[in-house]
Amino acid sequence: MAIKIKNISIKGIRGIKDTIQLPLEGKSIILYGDNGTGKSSISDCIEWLYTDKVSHLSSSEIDLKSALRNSDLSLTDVASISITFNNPDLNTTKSLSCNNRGKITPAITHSHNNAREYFSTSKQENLILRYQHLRNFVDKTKSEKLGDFFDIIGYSEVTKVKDILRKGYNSIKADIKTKNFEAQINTQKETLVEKIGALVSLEKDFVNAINEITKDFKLDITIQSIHDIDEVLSKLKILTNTDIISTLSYLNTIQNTLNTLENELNLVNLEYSGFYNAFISFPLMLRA
Amino acid sequence: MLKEIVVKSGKEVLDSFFEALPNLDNVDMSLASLLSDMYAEGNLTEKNLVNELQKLREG
Repeated sequence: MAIKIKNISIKGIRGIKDTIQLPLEGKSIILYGDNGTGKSSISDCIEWLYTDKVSHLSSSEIDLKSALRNSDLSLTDVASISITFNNPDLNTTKSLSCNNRGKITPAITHSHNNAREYFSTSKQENLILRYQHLRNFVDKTKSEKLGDFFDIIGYSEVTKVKDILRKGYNSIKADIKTKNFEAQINTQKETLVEKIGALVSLEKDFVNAINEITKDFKLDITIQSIHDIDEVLSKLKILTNTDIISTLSYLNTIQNTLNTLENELNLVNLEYSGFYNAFISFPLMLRA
Repeated sequence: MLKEIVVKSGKEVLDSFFEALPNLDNVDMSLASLLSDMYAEGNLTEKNLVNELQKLREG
């Protein structure tokens, strides 16, 4: 439910000495009149209630509480503004009391905690648009006008976040320029040309090239994206390792067999030499 | 009778933007998640963003 103001009651603030009532009943209002008839007094009261300040009275030389409290009030009178809403939980009264020594004390009364939250949130919005702002607005540049619009309709947070994101973008852009990523990309492209024999700029081209290269390995996997490359590499690694292990085992067996054969041949050779020598010397032994 | 026009507040605009960010076309998911999380946690400041972007690039 949209929050609507039912009534505004003001007494003893700025140029308003006696109580005035503005029974809006949820409707908008236009105040018009000659200078000095109290239009600004009403807007000052509302600005003070919502923001705890009055922009055209913010000066170190001006005591805001004294400037707000009507000077014709007696010490016992309480200056106040009360707003009632269509949601009674938001009803709020803000007052300025004066003690015997003339010290002015402000006080605010909310009918419910929801009102405190509502007024706190409202402080983040720009509720007041004065003639002076409009006059200055006309002379501003387009971007300044856009900024003002954002402030008026409460988009200042959007502008703030937008600035943060833009600065993040600029930081990345500057980093890319500083670290010469263009040159690094070209180097990587040259490496790809050397390794896979294709000039690729897009992931799709890279994936196609790798699928072409790996199709003879019958890996039972079709690469869809760059994230599948690790899986393909691990499959290739497993296949390669099995082949090597099998070949090494075969070679080891051959080496062991050849070593045994060499030893046996040496033994046979030794035995044969002994036999040969004995055979040669046998006729001599017979003659003797 | 005049029809009431509902205008989103600044916060509502930002909430919608960061909620829709991961679903936009051609948006890097890790970057979208980073930004959405930072916004949701109230950590989206210029310094934090630059640091987190640096971590994202190096990670």
